[in-house]
Amino acid sequence: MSAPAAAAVRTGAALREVLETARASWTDSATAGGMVALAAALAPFALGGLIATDTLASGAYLALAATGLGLCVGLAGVPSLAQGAFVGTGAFVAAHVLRHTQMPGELCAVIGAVGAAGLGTAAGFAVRSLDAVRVAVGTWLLSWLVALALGALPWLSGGAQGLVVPTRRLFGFSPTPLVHYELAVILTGLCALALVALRRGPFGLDLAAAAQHRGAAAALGVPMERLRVGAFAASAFVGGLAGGFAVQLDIVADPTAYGPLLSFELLVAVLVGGAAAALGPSAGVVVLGLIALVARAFGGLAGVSGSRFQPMLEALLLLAVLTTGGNAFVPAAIAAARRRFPERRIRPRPSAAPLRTRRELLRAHELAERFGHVRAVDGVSLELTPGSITALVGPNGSGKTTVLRLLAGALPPDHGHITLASHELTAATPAERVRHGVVRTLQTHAYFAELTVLEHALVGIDRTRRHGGAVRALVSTPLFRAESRLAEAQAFAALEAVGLAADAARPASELTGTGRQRLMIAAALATNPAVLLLDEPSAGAAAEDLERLTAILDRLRAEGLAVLLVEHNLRLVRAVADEVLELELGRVVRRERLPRL
Amino acid sequence: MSRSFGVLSVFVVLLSAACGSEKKSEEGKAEKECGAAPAAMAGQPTLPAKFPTPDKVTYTGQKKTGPSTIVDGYRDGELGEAFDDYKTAFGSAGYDVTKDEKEDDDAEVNFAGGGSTGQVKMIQSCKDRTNLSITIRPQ
Amino acid sequence: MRVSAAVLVAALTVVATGCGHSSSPKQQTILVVVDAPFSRSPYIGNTIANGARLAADQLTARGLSVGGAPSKVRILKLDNALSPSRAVADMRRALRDHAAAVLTDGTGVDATWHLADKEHVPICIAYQGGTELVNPETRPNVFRIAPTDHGLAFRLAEYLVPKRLKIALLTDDSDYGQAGRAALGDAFRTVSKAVAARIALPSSASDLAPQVLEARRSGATALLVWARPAVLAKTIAAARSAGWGVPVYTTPAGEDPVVRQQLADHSSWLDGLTFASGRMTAELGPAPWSAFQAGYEAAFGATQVGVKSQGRRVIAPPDYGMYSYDFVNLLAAAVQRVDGTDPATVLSALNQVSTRGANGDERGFNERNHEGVVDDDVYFARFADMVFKPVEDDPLSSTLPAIDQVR
Repeated sequence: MSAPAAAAVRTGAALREVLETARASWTDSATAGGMVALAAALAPFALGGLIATDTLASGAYLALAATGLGLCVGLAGVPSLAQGAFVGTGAFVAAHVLRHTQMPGELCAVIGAVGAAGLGTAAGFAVRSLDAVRVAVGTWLLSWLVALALGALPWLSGGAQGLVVPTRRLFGFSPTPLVHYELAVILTGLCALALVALRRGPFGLDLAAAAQHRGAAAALGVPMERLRVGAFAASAFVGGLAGGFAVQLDIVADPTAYGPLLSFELLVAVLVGGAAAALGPSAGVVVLGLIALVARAFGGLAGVSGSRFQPMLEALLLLAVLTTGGNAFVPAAIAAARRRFPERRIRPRPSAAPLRTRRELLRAHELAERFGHVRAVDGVSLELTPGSITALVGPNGSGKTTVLRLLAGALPPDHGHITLASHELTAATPAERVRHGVVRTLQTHAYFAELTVLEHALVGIDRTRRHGGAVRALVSTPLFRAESRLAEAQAFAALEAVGLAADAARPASELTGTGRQRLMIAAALATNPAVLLLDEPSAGAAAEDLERLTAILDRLRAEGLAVLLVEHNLRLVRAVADEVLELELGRVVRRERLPRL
Repeated sequence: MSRSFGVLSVFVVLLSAACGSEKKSEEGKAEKECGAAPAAMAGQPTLPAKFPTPDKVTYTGQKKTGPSTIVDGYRDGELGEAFDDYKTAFGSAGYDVTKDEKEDDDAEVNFAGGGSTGQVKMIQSCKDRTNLSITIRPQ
Repeated sequence: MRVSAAVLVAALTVVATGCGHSSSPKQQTILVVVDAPFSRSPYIGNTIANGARLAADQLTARGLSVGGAPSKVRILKLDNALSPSRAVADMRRALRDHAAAVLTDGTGVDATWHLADKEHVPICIAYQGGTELVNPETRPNVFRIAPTDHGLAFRLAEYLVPKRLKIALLTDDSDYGQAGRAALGDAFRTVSKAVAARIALPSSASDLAPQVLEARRSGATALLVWARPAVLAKTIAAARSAGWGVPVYTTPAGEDPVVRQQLADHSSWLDGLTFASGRMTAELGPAPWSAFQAGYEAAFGATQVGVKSQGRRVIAPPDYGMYSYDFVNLLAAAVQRVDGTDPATVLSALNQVSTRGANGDERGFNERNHEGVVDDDVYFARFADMVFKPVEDDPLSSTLPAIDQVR
């Protein structure tokens, strides 16, 4: 067979596989989403003279920007109040490119989006490790900064008259409001699909985990800061794209149109419509449109412009949604629909894969750590050998958890060094240590409240994926799909090891405390570790839980893992440990090897 | 009846007289004999390039008011002729007449050209003389 | 039989009358859209809209006939909120509604004129004076009836320079102020020795004492302020509260009620403030203006400034309403000239018609000139006890009567 023929055959096979996968994974939600998209595309023809097409097109671009913001707010759980600034950046970059070049309109919009993504990357970098409140304040300030810059730099913004934009064909079509509307609907639909794809893939899971429990996610090696920067950049790109196209609809880049109020309205749309739902932001924009009508009616009654009432009504609606604890519109609608029409499709459980572990020796030499005048750890040395369990015991404040944190990379040691096989880990970050095979569970019942049991394990698996990047997830490459199937099988293996495979589809919030503790062990196992650092896994456990835990630890030893167990429960220690180290005031005061039968 | 008629007659006469006198005052400027003409200025005023000077125009003075120049003069003849002359002359000289307005006693012709904008204001000062005040503003 | 015949005749009469009514021409509507910043600058927006409405109502009441059909002029108000993109959306709506013309304060004209030009719809600017907004050659459908920045700046220079003052030019950072800065730059270019300082006023500052102090230190003996009304009020307050009685000159922003409202507690600070604006009366005397003002106040009430002068309430004369009033009348004249509402022919006719304006001035345009207020029609007025009257030391202004501003 000639090379082109062979390529054609391979392509055909790949397409058939894609179609088969799509058919297999098609849900009622997908059908509903498709119908909504079709209705949206036909809206200008149905609504006729009720709403002008250019108004619909403006709203559709707003929906695109809001969907982009959903990446940040919904996936990453980050309350960004800078989306208006990104829309404005995209608009003005595109406007300047249009005025100074002959490039087609769509290319100018993409360039605007790239410009916005640059600003978004910088913003994401600045807020990468801040808490939600500080992120909101920081991004709000960025919105103000961009608005003030546009007002203060008439050469940039065109002054009060704005920057008039030449009319350019879009994808070969005359840029009528109808063309703009349909383009905006297509882009919003694609962005919503991207949201779904990302949410289900490693990128989305990692972001969700980081949003729900930073500590647990860090312990599993989730690169939170890098992901947050990526979410900001992606969100800004989509916002900039919306701005770059919308400015061509408006034929003028208006410096007054991209202020903090726009950022606020986009956030309201996302929160009211549903940050977690792909079409939630679009639904929120529709709600904002209805509010504009109500505001206009109020204005008519009062004899003033309705725009005076609009921000107030939007804020009231947001308060109502947030303070009454109600679900946003789209998630509430989906929940109601699911109660009425339960999901008929049952996903088959993949065939089990063997549990993956590595056999590597960890050495820690003369570790020391001070907190002010207090020597928390003072010259601790230990070896964790494959296929063994080492217990670290001692009274409260003896330094046990500090040793664990030093080994996991959560604290840099003042002295000493740590190696795993031939790798020097002393300066490695927690995420790097997880990649090398050292992973920790947290002392408290730290878990991801909105993920399922299976998804917890998948968060761990994601550390080992080679073809799980966001772009591959978006495009769903054959390698991505193949690796995803394998990942799911491996996740089940990790769950089986802790006795939770039967609960894979359950929300983790339905498990008991000890069940969640086992779940985090499974997530740690899924990372393909060489060394497991377990911090008081028996806390709160009843007798039968202890028996189960003992069996799990025995299995882990049999699989060749090196386990460091920090425990107060001496019964458990005597049942499973091969070596016991007793700490007192940061020093090892006793080492004892326990005979195993 | 005769008394009423008499009162009415007096009233009519007075009214006529009043009307007549008003008309006289309106026609006063146009009918007033002109005195001696003002002296022409020495030399020529500073005017924009190709600024037209219609026939019978005499310049009497020039002054600077800030960035603008005001050139005073007069034209022998009636207001209507001066008005028409200037409109024609501006057209011939390549100037744009941006606005023109003519009332009974005064008229204005606004112009643009020669790197300037401005106005020629014309006032009928007496029977055969129309005063001119030309304001020239650099563009 | 007779009764039946009578009934039949009556019925036939009724039917004939009804048929007669149905065959008479339907009233057609000439739509004029007023696109102004009603929410952001209500005084400007409402004045423009009310002037247009007054003209529309008068034309309709007089009986407007176009193409043999009775016609009425309808005014539609749209709020551009000083936003160019909203102005574009408003223009699209106006074009969808087949507007015969659009009256605007000037917001977004750079973007909207092209849309309107495709449909041959004229735009008339009734407030902003930027020179670049109007160009009959490149923007054949854009007109203006309002004083231009060029005219205001040059007249101010002509008025002030002969007084041998050292003038500090103060402009704020709004687009209005920046446009004024450029216009003043042109006007004072050849007389720069008269300029003591050029100072920027930050409009967001609550206190302009530093800028006023800078002007004082420059040796200025007069302030020429080109800024929005609120900033002008702050400038005057800064000078007077520092004990500096320097004369202050300004643009039509000086007659905005906001200035008097903000200085209401210190009415003496306003005394002597002199502003330039388009004249409200003309060579025909005050009668035309008085008639216009009476009609305006009868329809919409007098615009209360919110302060008193000698115990009587001060009102703001609707001078900017005069411009929109004149344009609607010009439009009607153009429509009647072509006896139709075809946009292209009406637009062309706008360059040929003229009307007697609200102040008695003849208003009209031509192919070379789309400015309805000439530079020479700018006059000066001075405040005393919250009301203003034309100054005596300007040749034009000294011929104008004072307008009654108290009720």
